[in-house]
Amino acid sequence: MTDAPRTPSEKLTQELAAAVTADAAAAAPMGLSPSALAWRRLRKNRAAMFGALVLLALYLVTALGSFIAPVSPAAGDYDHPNHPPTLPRFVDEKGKFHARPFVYGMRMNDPVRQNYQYDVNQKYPLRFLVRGEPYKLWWIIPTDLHLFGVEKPGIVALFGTDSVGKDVFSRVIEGGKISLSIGLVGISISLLAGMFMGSLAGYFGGWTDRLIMRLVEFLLSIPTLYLIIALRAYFQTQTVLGIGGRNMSSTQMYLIIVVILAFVGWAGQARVVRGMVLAIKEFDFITAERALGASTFRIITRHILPNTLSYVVISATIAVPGYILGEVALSYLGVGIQEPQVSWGIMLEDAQSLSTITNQPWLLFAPAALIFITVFAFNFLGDGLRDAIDPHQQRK
Amino acid sequence: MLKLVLRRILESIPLLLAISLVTFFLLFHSPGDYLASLRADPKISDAFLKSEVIRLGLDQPWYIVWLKWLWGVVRYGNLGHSFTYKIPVTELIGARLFNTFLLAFCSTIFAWSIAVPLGIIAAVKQNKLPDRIASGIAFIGLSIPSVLLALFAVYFAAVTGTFPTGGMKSDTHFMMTDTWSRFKDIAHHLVLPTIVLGMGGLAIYTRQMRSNLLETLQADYVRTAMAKGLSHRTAVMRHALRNALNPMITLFGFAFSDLLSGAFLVENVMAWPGLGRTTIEAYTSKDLFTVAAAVMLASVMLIIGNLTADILLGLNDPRIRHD
Amino acid sequence: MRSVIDDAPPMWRVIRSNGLGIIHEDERQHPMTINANGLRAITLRTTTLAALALLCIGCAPKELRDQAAAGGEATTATATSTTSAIASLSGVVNVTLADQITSASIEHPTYTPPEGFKLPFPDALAARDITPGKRGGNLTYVAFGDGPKTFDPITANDSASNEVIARMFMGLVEFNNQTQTYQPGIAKTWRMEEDQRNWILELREGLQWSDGKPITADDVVFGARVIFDPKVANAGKDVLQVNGKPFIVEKVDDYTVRVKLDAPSGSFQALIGGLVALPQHAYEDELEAGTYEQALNINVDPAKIIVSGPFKLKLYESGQRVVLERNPYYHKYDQAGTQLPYLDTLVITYAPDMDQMLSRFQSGQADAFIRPRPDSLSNLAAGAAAGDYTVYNCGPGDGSNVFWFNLKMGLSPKSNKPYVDPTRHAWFSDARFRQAAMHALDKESVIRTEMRGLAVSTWGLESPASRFWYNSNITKYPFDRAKAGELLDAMDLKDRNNDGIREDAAGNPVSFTFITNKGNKVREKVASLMAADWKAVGIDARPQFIDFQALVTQTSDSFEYEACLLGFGGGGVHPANSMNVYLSSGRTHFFNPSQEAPATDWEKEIDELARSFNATLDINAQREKFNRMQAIMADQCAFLPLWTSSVFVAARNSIGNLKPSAITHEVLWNSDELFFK
Repeated sequence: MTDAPRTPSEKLTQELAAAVTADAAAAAPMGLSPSALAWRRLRKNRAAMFGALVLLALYLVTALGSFIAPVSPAAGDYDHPNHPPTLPRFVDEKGKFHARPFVYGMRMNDPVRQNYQYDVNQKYPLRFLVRGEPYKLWWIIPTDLHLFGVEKPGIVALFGTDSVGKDVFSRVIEGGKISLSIGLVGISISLLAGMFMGSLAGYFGGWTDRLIMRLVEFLLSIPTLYLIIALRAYFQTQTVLGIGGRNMSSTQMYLIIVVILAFVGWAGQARVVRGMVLAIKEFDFITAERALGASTFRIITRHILPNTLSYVVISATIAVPGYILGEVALSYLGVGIQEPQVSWGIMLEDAQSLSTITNQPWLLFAPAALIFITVFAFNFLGDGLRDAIDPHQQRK
Repeated sequence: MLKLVLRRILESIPLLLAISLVTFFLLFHSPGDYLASLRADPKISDAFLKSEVIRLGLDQPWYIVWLKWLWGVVRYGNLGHSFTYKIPVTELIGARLFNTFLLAFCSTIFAWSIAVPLGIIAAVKQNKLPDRIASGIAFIGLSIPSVLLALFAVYFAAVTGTFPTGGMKSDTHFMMTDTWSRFKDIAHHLVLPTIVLGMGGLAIYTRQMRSNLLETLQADYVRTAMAKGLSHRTAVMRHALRNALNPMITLFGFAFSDLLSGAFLVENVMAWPGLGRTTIEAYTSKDLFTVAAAVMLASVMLIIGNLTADILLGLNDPRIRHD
Repeated sequence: MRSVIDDAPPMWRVIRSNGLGIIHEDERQHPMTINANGLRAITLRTTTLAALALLCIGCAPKELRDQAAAGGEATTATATSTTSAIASLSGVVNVTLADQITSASIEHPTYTPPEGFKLPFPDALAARDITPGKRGGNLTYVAFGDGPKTFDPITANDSASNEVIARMFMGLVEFNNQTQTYQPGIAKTWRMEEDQRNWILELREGLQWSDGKPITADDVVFGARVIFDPKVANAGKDVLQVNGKPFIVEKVDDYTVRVKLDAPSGSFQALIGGLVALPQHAYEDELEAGTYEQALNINVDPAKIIVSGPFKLKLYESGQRVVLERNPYYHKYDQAGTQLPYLDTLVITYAPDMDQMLSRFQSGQADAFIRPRPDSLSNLAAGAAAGDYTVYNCGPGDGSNVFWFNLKMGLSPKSNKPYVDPTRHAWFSDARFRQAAMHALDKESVIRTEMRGLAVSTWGLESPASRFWYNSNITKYPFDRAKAGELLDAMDLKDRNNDGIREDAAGNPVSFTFITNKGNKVREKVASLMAADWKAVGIDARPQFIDFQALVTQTSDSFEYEACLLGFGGGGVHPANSMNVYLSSGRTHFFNPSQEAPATDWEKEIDELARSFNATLDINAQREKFNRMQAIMADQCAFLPLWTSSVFVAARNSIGNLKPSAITHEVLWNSDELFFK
């Protein structure tokens, strides 16, 4: 059995894992914990910090989602289908300045081309903290307060509307709830599974090792997308642990997608963790601990797993984009989250056509830009974290 | 080495068995079957449907169907007949497999021929402008969903007219008489899909090449060489580069097999007549043996890729023991 | 991609596809579904399409006018109706057909060679009403999907295969999409014998297969033999029958065939196209050996495919294109005595989505394609002048989108539970509930936005495209939330706890789930809009998107679902094609299929009407019965019909004799007459 990496990214993480294990010893003499050292290096990395800030902002907006979104993401507006993005104006048609921004009333003048003309006699001033459609903030607090909005029938479509008049800005925010969380939830599941299986295999060796590694090999040998599609169809009628079946709720659907993505992902993690555990197992302090009669469980949980933690953090950051892009691929194949739920992947899939690029580019570019920014930020952050924890790369 | 290859081949047999078992299990337990489309046809009688179920063997439990299929494979090398096309699946899949293979091959060449120089530049000029640009390109490549990139490529082709928007040959290909214009035609169609499919790998390999080279540049022998007065350029080219490239070669096998199985999103958007589209269509219509054969082939490709990588790794680095 | 079962049977094979098939329109660009159309049979359509464009156009403007009135004074915007919007798209041409064809003209055709034709032998086919063109050229048609699955006219069961096969095999009778009538094909006349049961078909003398061998009665009998061979899996054997007794096809002499029926059938003409002439000399050995199904598979050497139609196979590249070349033995001539087809080669090239079709057409790689999506129509039309092409509006197609509740009673043998929860079943069975559900739907707004006004709201299963059989005088259920509320109140379904959802007296909230097939973006959106509309009247409906195959299994096999939204492919406009939807014993009587005895009085009445329809030979009497069937269906609101999309065709101006139509095949139906100017 070799530890040959299966993919380039796995090779990266393997090297990284080696660096992390080595780092534990290297940092000690300086009187700083390895994580403090790493944090110091990370702060100096402007790209990584920028990525972190962008992510922070994205998650914050998403968390406050329904409050920031002016209308419900599911509410259609038959009078304004495929409405182009409009920014609130300060200057009106006569060149007069308005301190309070406003939008003009819009009317569609051609149902086939769906062109709009604005009506200068109808102005809708933008209001802040308005009462609008009721919703529950964080599924608990019932309220109808929205950050901004205009009186009906005026609309303030920052990112435009889709073919049935749903507000793209509100949908992007709503979609962020799924697209941004899917990576975090997914990586948590696959890391937990990967660490558990990997440490079992690495620590015990022998039959346990062989069995787990065969399973890992098996999962790595099935073409991923086929497996995902098949599993997704399987859950459509079969119930496993109370999830799935015909009357699947949207939450269950979401869980199934995450679990499937994680299921495909844990095998790679397990391999790396196993390798790390094999290395750590030989450290003197573990041998000493064992000699003192510590239980296996204690050794694994107290000593071995904590030593793999920094690997875990980086690996998570690097892997999250995979989940976000995975959700996009699933949506493209029509096996992801489904209407009426919304995710960036669905929005992108929905806009995946040449006529959309030409006629309603906002439908494509709103979700595409957010996916791009998020993945980009995660990559920057992950790269920075890797550099921070693996000091060899910094030396010249 | 021979022992390793033999052992890995032996090891892959139970693996393939397990994969086929899971494939059959999932196919039988996902909703709908091949006859569903006939069921919705109002003029087909129940009697006919029943006879079809028996003829296709769909009345039997999934493991029996699997065992029979397995027997056919082992005894006659027969992967089964396609329900839809009524021909052996090997005939159906063969041509498609070649197309996918061609695309994956070109993409790999493309990705590597760009990634290696880009990685070298990034490493030599570490933290300077060229490095940042190279890293920027790599990160952008990593951050665009491949379906979106493919759509942009189609849009580019449609707007500029410089490349065909899709397909593998022109519709007038059959009229071309000389080999050279036929070759040119296919090459012309290959350009965009190759770039789109290669883009994801390109980013990863650039980063990989960069870090490999950085590592070797810090190695003692390179430093010694430079201390002895060797120019930086010579040190990089003659000593560091060779060693930095070695680990890259081992990645080749994986990368290639990854592309083979990952090509079908691009195939779909860019109308490439590859294996992925056939598989998805077969899956949708529950054409059992076609799906099973496609999955098996893709798995075999993955296993061969991994094996190649292991062998290359072993050849490169004798420290890795294969025991 | 349009559906899964068969669709468009070639025009000469009417029968094959009886009944409403299933079709998903507008979804030709999704990779996950396969391409097969709903069954679309050819039928006796006795109408012109002239009024259809008007029908299509009439639907949208009201809201727009209302909007304009409401916004009233001093607006800079001008509201335009769809009519002028389509008209304003330069490049879109509305297809109108001049002559009203009476039903009588198709009853008993007789064959007389037209005057002025230079035919090489008396029985050769004359191409009527065409502009004589010149031979030569290669026409490329871009089609959706992955290409044909077989070249066998008997076993083909999908639209991609039929599209190609129809170019390769000539029917006993040919269907003219423009005049909507049957014309003599291999058979020059057909007539009923005096017992009113048996039919005599007279074949043309002197026709040849593409290998030069003569086409005779033996080949027609051989075709029937293949259809009824137990080893050959095909749907035809279930269609060519009356009262469960198969047709018997016998040779009278070399050029005469008798088809024996067990009982008189009022729908015989709708079924006659199901008979196929197959070259006995080429495939008899295969049939004897039990390998017939392999004889015409996609990997067979093209030279071994012996055809009777205008084109023969030259090359098939799996998943890419079919190249057809002129069949030198095709015996059809124009006035000038030029042998058809005009084209040297016909290429049908396959694209996986609408974008690929569109860009190949616009870049000039392809000469024609059909059914562009509503959202790409304005771009397409805008480029018409520069691209030297025209977009034709052929009016509404013959498919429609339909919703129904599962009314199946009893226990599911699998789970031993009722198919539908008894409380909900009681609501669904109440016509008032279904009518309320219909009133609650704002169809016009969906058509105006998602369909861009390029569809027609329908109130019955028959498409307005069929003016002879379509009954416009049936109950309509316009969007009216108050009316829906009244009907629900009358059923004592009221919002008792003020949560916005109605409850029955026992406190059960009025909710249900409805299934629809995924992969059709338009339908997925429409499903959630419908759910929102129902919520507005206090009905909690939840859409579920499942694979098409799974959906069919639920609606046609396990019956464990509550309601369903689906597209019906045009079963053609002849009622024989949709009888199984009306008959309570039909397997596609979707809301309560395969009943042993009709569950309700109105279903019983429909059954009786259907039976007397089939026994009637007078077409006008048939129409009265069929009108009544449609009216009952609409009164009961058993199906909730939604809309029918308009069919558009885009083609280069350089193509001569182009006669685009709303029914299959929209462009290639007269491929033998097409030429380059």
